[in-house]
Amino acid sequence: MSKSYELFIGPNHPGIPGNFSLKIELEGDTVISAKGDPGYLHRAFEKAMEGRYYIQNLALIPRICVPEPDINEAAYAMAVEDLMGVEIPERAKYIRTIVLELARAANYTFWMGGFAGTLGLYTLAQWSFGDRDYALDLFAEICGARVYHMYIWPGGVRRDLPPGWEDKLLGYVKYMKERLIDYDNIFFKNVMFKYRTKGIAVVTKEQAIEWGATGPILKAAGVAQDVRKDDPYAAYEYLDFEIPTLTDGDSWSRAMIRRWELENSLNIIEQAVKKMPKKGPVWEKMPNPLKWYVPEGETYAKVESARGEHGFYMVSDGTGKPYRVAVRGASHTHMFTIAEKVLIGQRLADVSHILVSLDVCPPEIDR
Amino acid sequence: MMDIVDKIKGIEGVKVTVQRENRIFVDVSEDKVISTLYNMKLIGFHQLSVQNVIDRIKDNKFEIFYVLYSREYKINAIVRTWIDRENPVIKTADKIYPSAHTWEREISEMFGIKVDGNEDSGKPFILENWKDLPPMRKDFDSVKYSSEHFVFRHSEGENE
Repeated sequence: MSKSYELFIGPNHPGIPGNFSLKIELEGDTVISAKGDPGYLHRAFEKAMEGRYYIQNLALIPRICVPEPDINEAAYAMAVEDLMGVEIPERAKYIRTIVLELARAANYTFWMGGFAGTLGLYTLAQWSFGDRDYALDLFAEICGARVYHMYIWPGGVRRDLPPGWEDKLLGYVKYMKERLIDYDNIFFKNVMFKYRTKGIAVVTKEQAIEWGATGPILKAAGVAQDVRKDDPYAAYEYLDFEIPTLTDGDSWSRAMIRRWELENSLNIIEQAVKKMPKKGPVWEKMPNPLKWYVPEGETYAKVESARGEHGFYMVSDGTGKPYRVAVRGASHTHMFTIAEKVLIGQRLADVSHILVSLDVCPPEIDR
Repeated sequence: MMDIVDKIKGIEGVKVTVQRENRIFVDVSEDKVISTLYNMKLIGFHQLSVQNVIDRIKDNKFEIFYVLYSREYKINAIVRTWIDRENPVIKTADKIYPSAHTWEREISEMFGIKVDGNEDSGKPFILENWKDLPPMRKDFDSVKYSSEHFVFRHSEGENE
Protein backbone atom coordinates (compact mmCIF):
# COMPACT_ATOMS: atom_id res chain seq x y z
CA MET A 1 0.00 0.00 0.00
CA SER A 2 1.33 3.43 -0.93
CA LYS A 3 2.20 5.67 1.99
CA SER A 4 1.75 8.89 0.03
CA TYR A 5 -1.27 10.60 -1.48
CA GLU A 6 -1.91 13.51 -3.83
CA LEU A 7 -3.82 16.66 -3.06
CA PHE A 8 -4.83 19.54 -5.30
CA ILE A 9 -4.47 23.05 -3.90
CA GLY A 10 -6.48 25.20 -6.30
CA PRO A 11 -7.43 26.27 -8.95
CA ASN A 12 -9.69 27.98 -6.41
CA HIS A 13 -8.20 28.08 -2.97
CA PRO A 14 -7.64 30.69 -0.25
CA GLY A 15 -3.90 30.12 -0.48
CA ILE A 16 -3.74 30.98 -4.16
CA PRO A 17 -4.46 34.57 -5.23
CA GLY A 18 -6.07 33.69 -8.56
CA ASN A 19 -6.77 30.61 -10.61
CA PHE A 20 -3.78 28.35 -10.32
CA SER A 21 -3.39 24.78 -9.26
CA LEU A 22 -0.71 23.15 -7.20
CA LYS A 23 -0.49 19.40 -7.06
CA ILE A 24 1.18 18.25 -3.86
CA GLU A 25 2.13 14.79 -2.76
CA LEU A 26 2.06 14.12 0.97
CA GLU A 27 3.10 11.53 3.47
CA GLY A 28 0.97 12.12 6.51
CA ASP A 29 0.80 15.90 6.53
CA THR A 30 4.33 16.42 5.19
CA VAL A 31 4.80 17.59 1.61
CA ILE A 32 7.15 15.34 -0.34
CA SER A 33 6.68 16.98 -3.75
CA ALA A 34 4.92 20.01 -5.22
CA LYS A 35 4.17 20.77 -8.87
CA GLY A 36 2.58 23.93 -10.19
CA ASP A 37 -0.12 23.50 -12.83
CA PRO A 38 -0.72 26.73 -14.76
CA GLY A 39 -3.09 27.53 -17.62
CA TYR A 40 -6.37 28.39 -15.90
CA LEU A 41 -5.85 32.09 -16.57
CA HIS A 42 -4.16 31.92 -19.95
CA ARG A 43 -5.71 34.61 -22.13
CA ALA A 44 -2.95 34.81 -24.74
CA PHE A 45 -2.05 38.41 -23.91
CA GLU A 46 1.27 38.21 -25.73
CA LYS A 47 -0.30 36.84 -28.91
CA ALA A 48 -3.21 39.28 -28.73
CA MET A 49 -0.82 42.23 -28.45
CA GLU A 50 0.73 41.37 -31.81
CA GLY A 51 -2.60 41.96 -33.53
CA ARG A 52 -3.48 45.29 -31.91
CA TYR A 53 -2.33 48.86 -32.32
CA TYR A 54 -0.01 50.19 -29.66
CA ILE A 55 -2.78 52.22 -28.09
CA GLN A 56 -5.24 49.31 -28.12
CA ASN A 57 -2.87 47.23 -26.00
CA LEU A 58 -3.25 49.71 -23.17
CA ALA A 59 -6.69 48.27 -22.47
CA LEU A 60 -5.27 44.75 -22.41
CA ILE A 61 -2.08 44.87 -20.38
CA PRO A 62 -3.36 45.96 -16.94
CA ARG A 63 -5.14 42.62 -16.78
CA ILE A 64 -1.82 40.80 -16.57
CA CYS A 65 -1.79 41.53 -12.84
CA VAL A 66 -5.07 42.20 -11.11
CA PRO A 67 -3.90 43.42 -7.67
CA GLU A 68 -1.27 45.76 -9.15
CA PRO A 69 -2.11 46.54 -12.79
CA ASP A 70 -0.14 49.78 -13.11
CA ILE A 71 3.25 48.08 -13.33
CA ASN A 72 2.21 46.69 -16.71
CA GLU A 73 1.19 50.10 -17.98
CA ALA A 74 4.48 51.60 -16.82
CA ALA A 75 6.75 48.90 -18.27
CA TYR A 76 4.82 48.89 -21.57
CA ALA A 77 4.94 52.68 -21.83
CA MET A 78 8.66 52.71 -20.99
CA ALA A 79 9.39 50.13 -23.69
CA VAL A 80 7.51 52.15 -26.33
CA GLU A 81 9.20 55.38 -25.21
CA ASP A 82 12.58 53.68 -25.31
CA LEU A 83 12.06 52.52 -28.90
CA MET A 84 10.73 55.95 -29.92
CA GLY A 85 13.37 57.92 -28.04
CA VAL A 86 10.78 59.89 -26.08
CA GLU A 87 11.55 61.65 -22.79
CA ILE A 88 8.45 62.24 -20.67
CA PRO A 89 7.74 65.57 -18.88
CA GLU A 90 8.95 66.05 -15.29
CA ARG A 91 5.47 66.31 -13.80
CA ALA A 92 4.49 63.06 -15.55
CA LYS A 93 7.47 61.32 -13.95
CA TYR A 94 6.25 62.28 -10.49
CA ILE A 95 2.66 61.37 -11.23
CA ARG A 96 3.79 57.97 -12.47
CA THR A 97 5.78 57.47 -9.27
CA ILE A 98 2.79 58.40 -7.14
CA VAL A 99 0.46 56.11 -9.07
CA LEU A 100 2.90 53.20 -8.96
CA GLU A 101 3.46 53.61 -5.22
CA LEU A 102 -0.25 53.96 -4.54
CA ALA A 103 -0.79 50.73 -6.48
CA ARG A 104 2.01 49.08 -4.52
CA ALA A 105 0.50 50.23 -1.22
CA ALA A 106 -2.92 48.94 -2.30
CA ASN A 107 -1.34 45.65 -3.33
CA TYR A 108 0.45 45.18 0.00
CA THR A 109 -2.70 46.10 1.89
CA PHE A 110 -4.62 43.49 -0.11
CA TRP A 111 -1.80 40.99 0.39
CA MET A 112 -1.79 41.48 4.18
CA GLY A 113 -5.44 40.44 4.35
CA GLY A 114 -4.78 37.35 2.24
CA PHE A 115 -1.76 36.38 4.31
CA ALA A 116 -3.50 36.86 7.65
CA GLY A 117 -6.47 34.88 6.29
CA THR A 118 -4.27 31.85 5.61
CA LEU A 119 -3.26 31.94 9.28
CA GLY A 120 -6.88 32.15 10.40
CA LEU A 121 -6.78 35.81 11.41
CA TYR A 122 -9.71 37.17 9.47
CA THR A 123 -10.03 40.46 11.35
CA LEU A 124 -7.00 41.81 9.51
CA ALA A 125 -8.43 40.56 6.21
CA GLN A 126 -11.64 42.54 6.82
CA TRP A 127 -9.70 45.67 7.79
CA SER A 128 -7.16 45.58 5.00
CA PHE A 129 -9.64 44.80 2.21
CA GLY A 130 -11.62 47.81 3.40
CA ASP A 131 -8.54 50.04 3.56
CA ARG A 132 -7.49 49.02 0.06
CA ASP A 133 -10.75 50.47 -1.17
CA TYR A 134 -9.62 53.97 -0.13
CA ALA A 135 -6.74 53.63 -2.59
CA LEU A 136 -9.11 52.38 -5.29
CA ASP A 137 -11.36 55.40 -4.69
CA LEU A 138 -8.37 57.64 -5.37
CA PHE A 139 -7.71 55.81 -8.63
CA ALA A 140 -11.33 56.21 -9.62
CA GLU A 141 -10.96 59.97 -9.27
CA ILE A 142 -7.96 60.24 -11.57
CA CYS A 143 -9.08 57.88 -14.31
CA GLY A 144 -12.66 56.74 -13.70
CA ALA A 145 -11.71 53.15 -12.96
CA ARG A 146 -10.99 51.45 -9.67
CA VAL A 147 -9.02 48.36 -10.70
CA TYR A 148 -7.74 48.69 -14.28
CA HIS A 149 -6.60 52.25 -14.71
CA MET A 150 -5.09 52.63 -18.21
CA TYR A 151 -3.70 55.87 -16.85
CA ILE A 152 0.03 55.57 -17.58
CA TRP A 153 0.44 55.99 -21.32
CA PRO A 154 3.44 56.16 -23.63
CA GLY A 155 4.52 59.79 -23.41
CA GLY A 156 3.40 60.34 -19.81
CA VAL A 157 0.00 59.96 -18.20
CA ARG A 158 -3.46 60.23 -19.74
CA ARG A 159 -4.54 63.43 -18.01
CA ASP A 160 -3.49 65.71 -15.20
CA LEU A 161 -4.54 65.13 -11.60
CA PRO A 162 -7.97 66.53 -10.68
CA PRO A 163 -7.99 69.64 -8.42
CA GLY A 164 -7.69 68.76 -4.75
CA TRP A 165 -6.63 65.17 -5.42
CA GLU A 166 -3.20 65.59 -3.85
CA ASP A 167 -4.80 66.65 -0.54
CA LYS A 168 -7.03 63.58 -0.60
CA LEU A 169 -3.98 61.45 -1.35
CA LEU A 170 -2.08 62.89 1.60
CA GLY A 171 -5.17 62.25 3.74
CA TYR A 172 -5.02 58.60 2.66
CA VAL A 173 -1.29 58.44 3.52
CA LYS A 174 -1.93 59.91 6.97
CA TYR A 175 -4.80 57.49 7.57
CA MET A 176 -2.73 54.47 6.47
CA LYS A 177 0.24 55.45 8.65
CA GLU A 178 -2.05 55.54 11.67
CA ARG A 179 -3.66 52.34 10.54
CA LEU A 180 -0.27 50.59 10.37
CA ILE A 181 -0.06 50.88 14.16
CA ASP A 182 -3.32 48.93 14.38
CA TYR A 183 -2.00 46.38 11.90
CA ASP A 184 1.16 45.98 13.97
CA ASN A 185 -0.79 45.51 17.17
CA ILE A 186 -3.24 42.99 15.80
CA PHE A 187 -0.95 41.08 13.49
CA PHE A 188 2.74 41.86 13.09
CA LYS A 189 3.39 41.87 16.85
CA ASN A 190 1.07 38.93 17.38
CA VAL A 191 2.87 35.86 18.76
CA MET A 192 0.62 33.58 16.73
CA PHE A 193 1.95 35.15 13.51
CA LYS A 194 5.51 34.71 14.75
CA TYR A 195 5.06 31.08 15.85
CA ARG A 196 3.40 30.08 12.59
CA THR A 197 5.91 31.73 10.25
CA LYS A 198 9.36 31.91 11.94
CA GLY A 199 11.81 29.48 10.38
CA ILE A 200 9.24 28.25 7.84
CA ALA A 201 10.09 27.84 4.12
CA VAL A 202 13.54 29.40 4.36
CA VAL A 203 15.13 30.69 1.16
CA THR A 204 18.77 31.43 1.96
CA LYS A 205 20.70 34.27 0.38
CA GLU A 206 22.67 31.86 -1.82
CA GLN A 207 19.49 30.05 -2.91
CA ALA A 208 17.64 33.29 -3.62
CA ILE A 209 20.45 34.50 -5.88
CA GLU A 210 20.95 31.13 -7.57
CA TRP A 211 17.22 30.60 -8.20
CA GLY A 212 16.73 34.08 -9.64
CA ALA A 213 14.51 35.53 -6.90
CA THR A 214 13.65 39.22 -6.96
CA GLY A 215 11.59 41.55 -4.77
CA PRO A 216 10.64 40.70 -1.17
CA ILE A 217 11.96 37.12 -1.40
CA LEU A 218 15.44 38.40 -2.23
CA LYS A 219 15.25 41.27 0.29
CA ALA A 220 14.11 38.88 3.04
CA ALA A 221 17.24 36.84 2.33
CA GLY A 222 19.48 39.87 2.79
CA VAL A 223 20.01 41.24 -0.74
CA ALA A 224 19.12 44.90 -1.33
CA GLN A 225 18.22 44.65 -5.01
CA ASP A 226 15.44 46.87 -6.31
CA VAL A 227 14.84 48.24 -9.81
CA ARG A 228 13.75 51.60 -8.34
CA LYS A 229 17.28 52.05 -6.96
CA ASP A 230 19.40 50.08 -9.41
CA ASP A 231 17.91 51.29 -12.70
CA PRO A 232 15.71 54.23 -11.68
CA TYR A 233 12.67 55.14 -13.76
CA ALA A 234 9.87 57.70 -13.33
CA ALA A 235 11.00 60.08 -10.52
CA TYR A 236 12.65 57.56 -8.19
CA GLU A 237 16.13 59.00 -8.71
CA TYR A 238 14.98 62.29 -7.14
CA LEU A 239 13.53 60.63 -4.04
CA ASP A 240 15.11 59.41 -0.85
CA PHE A 241 14.20 55.92 0.32
CA GLU A 242 15.91 52.82 1.64
CA ILE A 243 15.51 49.22 0.58
CA PRO A 244 14.58 47.11 3.62
CA THR A 245 16.39 43.81 4.08
CA LEU A 246 16.36 40.96 6.58
CA THR A 247 18.54 37.89 6.74
CA ASP A 248 16.48 34.87 7.75
CA GLY A 249 14.67 34.40 4.42
CA ASP A 250 11.68 32.71 6.05
CA SER A 251 7.95 33.29 5.72
CA TRP A 252 8.07 35.78 8.66
CA SER A 253 10.86 37.81 7.03
CA ARG A 254 9.03 38.01 3.71
CA ALA A 255 5.90 39.24 5.49
CA MET A 256 7.85 41.84 7.48
CA ILE A 257 9.60 43.10 4.33
CA ARG A 258 6.21 43.71 2.74
CA ARG A 259 5.00 45.53 5.84
CA TRP A 260 8.04 47.86 5.68
CA GLU A 261 7.68 48.27 1.94
CA LEU A 262 4.12 49.45 2.53
CA GLU A 263 5.43 52.12 4.89
CA ASN A 264 8.15 52.93 2.35
CA SER A 265 5.52 53.48 -0.35
CA LEU A 266 3.58 55.87 1.87
CA ASN A 267 6.76 57.87 2.54
CA ILE A 268 7.65 57.95 -1.15
CA ILE A 269 4.17 59.27 -2.00
CA GLU A 270 4.56 62.09 0.54
CA GLN A 271 7.95 63.06 -0.84
CA ALA A 272 6.80 62.89 -4.45
CA VAL A 273 3.78 65.12 -3.77
CA LYS A 274 6.07 67.65 -2.08
CA LYS A 275 8.72 67.67 -4.81
CA MET A 276 6.44 67.40 -7.87
CA PRO A 277 6.38 70.47 -10.16
CA LYS A 278 3.03 72.13 -9.50
CA LYS A 279 2.41 72.94 -13.14
CA GLY A 280 3.54 71.72 -16.49
CA PRO A 281 2.65 69.20 -19.17
CA VAL A 282 1.93 65.61 -18.21
CA TRP A 283 2.06 64.08 -21.67
CA GLU A 284 4.56 64.32 -24.48
CA LYS A 285 2.40 64.42 -27.58
CA MET A 286 2.39 61.09 -29.39
CA PRO A 287 1.31 60.37 -32.99
CA ASN A 288 -2.26 59.73 -34.10
CA PRO A 289 -3.09 56.25 -32.75
CA LEU A 290 -3.74 54.90 -36.25
CA LYS A 291 -0.45 56.26 -37.58
CA TRP A 292 1.60 55.50 -34.51
CA TYR A 293 4.62 53.78 -36.03
CA VAL A 294 7.32 52.73 -33.60
CA PRO A 295 10.85 52.56 -35.07
CA GLU A 296 12.26 49.11 -35.72
CA GLY A 297 14.19 47.65 -32.80
CA GLU A 298 13.99 45.67 -29.59
CA THR A 299 14.29 46.65 -25.96
CA TYR A 300 13.70 45.51 -22.41
CA ALA A 301 11.94 47.83 -19.95
CA LYS A 302 11.52 46.89 -16.31
CA VAL A 303 9.97 48.19 -13.12
CA GLU A 304 9.87 46.99 -9.52
CA SER A 305 6.52 45.41 -8.75
CA ALA A 306 5.30 44.37 -5.31
CA ARG A 307 6.61 40.91 -6.15
CA GLY A 308 9.91 41.77 -7.82
CA GLU A 309 11.22 42.61 -11.25
CA HIS A 310 8.47 43.06 -13.81
CA GLY A 311 9.52 43.62 -17.41
CA PHE A 312 8.38 43.90 -20.99
CA TYR A 313 10.60 42.75 -23.84
CA MET A 314 9.26 44.58 -26.87
CA VAL A 315 10.12 44.13 -30.52
CA SER A 316 8.99 46.54 -33.23
CA ASP A 317 9.22 46.01 -36.97
CA GLY A 318 8.47 49.66 -37.70
CA THR A 319 4.70 49.20 -38.13
CA GLY A 320 1.77 50.34 -35.99
CA LYS A 321 1.55 47.10 -34.03
CA PRO A 322 4.22 45.44 -31.87
CA TYR A 323 5.91 42.52 -33.60
CA ARG A 324 6.43 40.69 -30.30
CA VAL A 325 5.93 41.48 -26.65
CA ALA A 326 7.20 39.09 -23.99
CA VAL A 327 6.17 39.73 -20.41
CA ARG A 328 8.41 38.90 -17.46
CA GLY A 329 6.47 38.54 -14.24
CA ALA A 330 8.33 37.80 -11.03
CA SER A 331 5.82 35.06 -10.15
CA HIS A 332 6.99 32.88 -13.05
CA THR A 333 10.32 32.23 -11.35
CA HIS A 334 8.96 32.40 -7.82
CA MET A 335 6.43 29.64 -8.41
CA PHE A 336 8.34 27.08 -10.41
CA THR A 337 11.92 27.62 -9.38
CA ILE A 338 11.33 28.51 -5.73
CA ALA A 339 7.91 27.43 -4.40
CA GLU A 340 8.18 23.91 -5.82
CA LYS A 341 11.45 23.48 -3.92
CA VAL A 342 10.76 25.21 -0.61
CA LEU A 343 7.41 23.48 -0.10
CA ILE A 344 9.10 20.11 0.18
CA GLY A 345 9.29 19.03 3.81
CA GLN A 346 6.69 21.56 4.97
CA ARG A 347 3.40 20.69 6.65
CA LEU A 348 0.10 20.85 4.82
CA ALA A 349 -1.22 23.51 7.22
CA ASP A 350 1.65 25.81 6.21
CA VAL A 351 1.35 25.43 2.43
CA SER A 352 -1.12 28.30 2.02
CA HIS A 353 0.79 30.89 3.99
CA ILE A 354 4.06 29.85 2.33
CA LEU A 355 2.50 30.41 -1.10
CA VAL A 356 1.12 33.79 -0.04
CA SER A 357 4.47 34.71 1.54
CA LEU A 358 6.02 34.07 -1.88
CA ASP A 359 3.17 36.15 -3.37
CA VAL A 360 2.64 34.13 -6.53
CA CYS A 361 0.33 36.01 -8.90
CA PRO A 362 -1.01 33.46 -11.44
CA PRO A 363 -1.86 35.88 -14.29
CA GLU A 364 1.84 36.77 -14.48
CA ILE A 365 2.58 33.11 -15.15
CA ASP A 366 -0.19 32.36 -17.64
CA ARG A 367 -0.24 35.71 -19.49
CA MET B 1 30.13 50.42 -17.93
CA MET B 2 32.96 50.09 -20.45
CA ASP B 3 34.73 47.71 -18.01
CA ILE B 4 31.96 45.19 -18.30
CA VAL B 5 31.65 45.69 -22.07
CA ASP B 6 35.35 44.86 -22.43
CA LYS B 7 34.94 41.78 -20.27
CA ILE B 8 32.02 40.54 -22.39
CA LYS B 9 33.96 41.22 -25.58
CA GLY B 10 36.57 38.80 -24.23
CA ILE B 11 34.11 35.91 -24.55
CA GLU B 12 34.80 33.92 -27.70
CA GLY B 13 32.50 34.55 -30.66
CA VAL B 14 30.32 37.35 -29.28
CA LYS B 15 29.25 40.59 -30.94
CA VAL B 16 28.48 43.29 -28.37
CA THR B 17 26.23 46.30 -29.02
CA VAL B 18 25.50 48.94 -26.39
CA GLN B 19 21.84 49.85 -26.89
CA ARG B 20 21.76 52.54 -24.19
CA GLU B 21 22.87 53.03 -20.62
CA ASN B 22 22.51 49.75 -18.69
CA ARG B 23 21.38 47.74 -21.76
CA ILE B 24 23.77 45.62 -23.82
CA PHE B 25 23.00 43.18 -26.63
CA VAL B 26 25.30 40.17 -26.88
CA ASP B 27 24.81 38.31 -30.15
CA VAL B 28 26.25 34.86 -30.50
CA SER B 29 25.96 31.86 -32.81
CA GLU B 30 23.74 28.97 -31.81
CA ASP B 31 26.60 26.59 -30.99
CA LYS B 32 28.21 29.05 -28.55
CA VAL B 33 25.15 30.25 -26.66
CA ILE B 34 25.48 27.93 -23.65
CA SER B 35 29.20 28.61 -23.19
CA THR B 36 28.44 32.34 -23.52
CA LEU B 37 25.77 32.12 -20.82
CA TYR B 38 28.19 30.22 -18.61
CA ASN B 39 30.83 32.91 -19.07
CA MET B 40 28.31 35.69 -18.53
CA LYS B 41 27.42 34.15 -15.18
CA LEU B 42 31.10 33.98 -14.25
CA ILE B 43 31.47 37.68 -15.15
CA GLY B 44 28.66 38.54 -12.74
CA PHE B 45 25.35 38.22 -14.58
CA HIS B 46 23.78 36.15 -11.83
CA GLN B 47 20.13 36.48 -12.77
CA LEU B 48 18.12 35.28 -15.76
CA SER B 49 15.16 37.64 -15.88
CA VAL B 50 13.42 36.20 -18.91
CA GLN B 51 14.13 33.79 -21.73
CA ASN B 52 11.84 33.77 -24.73
CA VAL B 53 11.57 33.64 -28.50
CA ILE B 54 10.80 35.91 -31.44
CA ASP B 55 9.52 34.21 -34.59
CA ARG B 56 11.47 35.88 -37.43
CA ILE B 57 9.35 34.19 -40.07
CA LYS B 58 10.62 36.32 -42.99
CA ASP B 59 14.16 35.16 -42.27
CA ASN B 60 12.95 31.63 -41.53
CA LYS B 61 14.60 31.89 -38.10
CA PHE B 62 13.71 31.84 -34.43
CA GLU B 63 15.48 34.43 -32.33
CA ILE B 64 16.11 33.13 -28.80
CA PHE B 65 16.87 35.79 -26.23
CA TYR B 66 18.03 35.62 -22.61
CA VAL B 67 17.72 38.80 -20.52
CA LEU B 68 20.44 38.66 -17.87
CA TYR B 69 21.07 41.01 -15.00
CA SER B 70 24.17 41.84 -12.98
CA ARG B 71 23.61 43.37 -9.56
CA GLU B 72 27.28 44.26 -9.33
CA TYR B 73 27.26 46.34 -12.52
CA LYS B 74 23.53 47.15 -12.51
CA ILE B 75 23.29 46.25 -16.17
CA ASN B 76 20.97 44.11 -18.28
CA ALA B 77 22.71 42.09 -20.98
CA ILE B 78 20.50 40.47 -23.60
CA VAL B 79 22.10 37.40 -25.12
CA ARG B 80 20.58 36.61 -28.53
CA THR B 81 20.98 33.75 -30.93
CA TRP B 82 19.20 32.60 -34.06
CA ILE B 83 18.18 29.07 -35.06
CA ASP B 84 16.44 27.63 -38.14
CA ARG B 85 12.66 27.43 -38.03
CA GLU B 86 12.69 23.93 -39.48
CA ASN B 87 13.13 21.28 -36.76
CA PRO B 88 14.21 23.85 -34.19
CA VAL B 89 16.32 22.62 -31.30
CA ILE B 90 18.17 24.48 -28.54
CA LYS B 91 20.21 23.25 -25.60
CA THR B 92 18.96 23.78 -22.09
CA ALA B 93 20.42 26.55 -19.95
CA ASP B 94 18.86 25.28 -16.73
CA LYS B 95 22.16 24.00 -15.35
CA ILE B 96 23.47 27.57 -15.48
CA TYR B 97 20.26 29.43 -14.62
CA PRO B 98 17.70 27.18 -12.83
CA SER B 99 14.83 29.51 -13.76
CA ALA B 100 15.51 28.75 -17.45
CA HIS B 101 13.87 25.36 -16.91
CA THR B 102 10.34 26.76 -16.84
CA TRP B 103 10.93 29.36 -19.54
CA GLU B 104 12.11 26.51 -21.76
CA ARG B 105 8.99 24.48 -21.00
CA GLU B 106 6.95 27.44 -22.16
CA ILE B 107 9.09 27.99 -25.27
CA SER B 108 8.80 24.35 -26.30
CA GLU B 109 5.02 24.50 -26.02
CA MET B 110 4.39 27.95 -27.50
CA PHE B 111 6.91 27.78 -30.37
CA GLY B 112 7.41 24.04 -30.86
CA ILE B 113 11.13 24.28 -30.12
CA LYS B 114 12.73 21.16 -28.69
CA VAL B 115 15.00 21.80 -25.73
CA ASP B 116 17.74 19.22 -25.44
CA GLY B 117 18.56 18.34 -21.84
CA ASN B 118 15.28 19.64 -20.42
CA GLU B 119 13.18 16.63 -19.45
CA ASP B 120 9.98 18.71 -19.48
CA SER B 121 10.45 19.92 -23.06
CA GLY B 122 7.45 18.92 -25.16
CA LYS B 123 5.22 18.18 -22.18
CA PRO B 124 1.96 20.15 -21.78
CA PHE B 125 2.48 23.29 -19.70
CA ILE B 126 -0.12 26.04 -20.11
CA LEU B 127 -2.17 24.61 -22.99
CA GLU B 128 -4.45 21.60 -22.72
CA ASN B 129 -5.00 19.04 -25.48
CA TRP B 130 -3.41 21.36 -28.04
CA LYS B 131 -3.25 19.77 -31.49
CA ASP B 132 -2.70 22.79 -33.76
CA LEU B 133 0.46 24.68 -34.72
CA PRO B 134 2.33 26.05 -31.69
CA PRO B 135 0.27 29.18 -31.01
CA MET B 136 2.99 31.82 -30.67
CA ARG B 137 4.34 31.12 -34.14
CA LYS B 138 3.59 33.86 -36.64
CA ASP B 139 1.95 31.43 -39.08
CA PHE B 140 -0.62 30.39 -36.46
CA ASP B 141 -3.83 32.27 -37.26
CA SER B 142 -5.57 32.89 -33.93
CA VAL B 143 -8.67 34.45 -35.53
CA LYS B 144 -9.17 31.43 -37.81
CA TYR B 145 -8.61 29.08 -34.86
CA SER B 146 -11.17 30.93 -32.76
CA SER B 147 -13.79 30.93 -35.51
CA GLU B 148 -13.31 27.18 -36.02
CA HIS B 149 -13.39 26.24 -32.34
CA PHE B 150 -15.68 28.71 -30.60
CA VAL B 151 -19.23 29.92 -31.19
CA PHE B 152 -19.44 33.63 -31.99
CA ARG B 153 -21.54 35.43 -29.40
CA HIS B 154 -23.18 38.78 -30.11
CA SER B 155 -23.07 41.30 -27.31
CA GLU B 156 -26.34 42.20 -25.68
CA GLY B 157 -28.10 44.95 -27.61
CA GLU B 158 -25.94 44.49 -30.68
CA ASN B 159 -27.77 44.26 -34.03
CA GLU B 160 -27.89 40.77 -35.47
